[in-house]
Amino acid sequence: MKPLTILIVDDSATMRQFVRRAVHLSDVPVGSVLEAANGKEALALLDAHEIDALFTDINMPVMSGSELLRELKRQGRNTPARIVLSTDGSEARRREMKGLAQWYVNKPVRPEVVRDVLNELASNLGD
Amino acid sequence: MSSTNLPATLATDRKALDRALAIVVEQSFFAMVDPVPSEAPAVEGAIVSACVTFEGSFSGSLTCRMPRALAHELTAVFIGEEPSDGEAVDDLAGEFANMVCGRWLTDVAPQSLFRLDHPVVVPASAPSRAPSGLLNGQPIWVELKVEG
Repeated sequence: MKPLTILIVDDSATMRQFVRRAVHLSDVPVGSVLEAANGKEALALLDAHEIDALFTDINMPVMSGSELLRELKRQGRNTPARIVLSTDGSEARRREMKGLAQWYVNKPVRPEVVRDVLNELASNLGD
Repeated sequence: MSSTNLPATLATDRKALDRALAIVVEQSFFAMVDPVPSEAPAVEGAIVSACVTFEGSFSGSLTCRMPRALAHELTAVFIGEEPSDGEAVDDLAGEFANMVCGRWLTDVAPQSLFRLDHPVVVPASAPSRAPSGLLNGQPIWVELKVEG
């Protein structure tokens, strides 16, 4: 399996660093890990790179995670795999994200949850 | 819990707030919030305040205050290394408040959607009231304001 290219989108630099650490704890081979502080920056990176997995926050200035995911859906992109990491664990938010992201993880995030998601993703890619 | 009477009762209900704080501390920082002894420890050094405002079926703000030294310790645990600058510590303090606020809103209003603004982090003074708890032996204050 080729190493995954991963994009982490969060307006908090420390949260991006936390997710980056958690990503490297997984058993999955990881190549580049890119970072963006909002959805707009993420779209630019998605246009310039072949990204396998996208971790995104919801509440961000400039362009939110919801707007980013809706834009990816509007563009009809099948990749990257989409994982939402959000402080908002409400049922309403989960419903909103259905069809926009494959995984929804509540913050605070345990590092092993990120690892489990990546392992599952790698397993799906291997099928 | 019905959302109709939320604003009237939430500001005085500390249990959900204490629960949210405990979950964030345990899951992200591998620590525990200890009860405050009758004589709270004196605060030494600077205090940092991080405020998150939220808006949805009701609105308000949640503020976390803690010694800057504690925010520094939490940052190191969170990112796995000593923070290289004060900006990372401020960012962590904001993310901490953001996580407590999100966790609390999820607990008290699971059917509602909320927008959380980017946290505002500023230097502050220690509140005169008792801390919400002790973390790594240092006080932490969590304050909630809820509007209709």
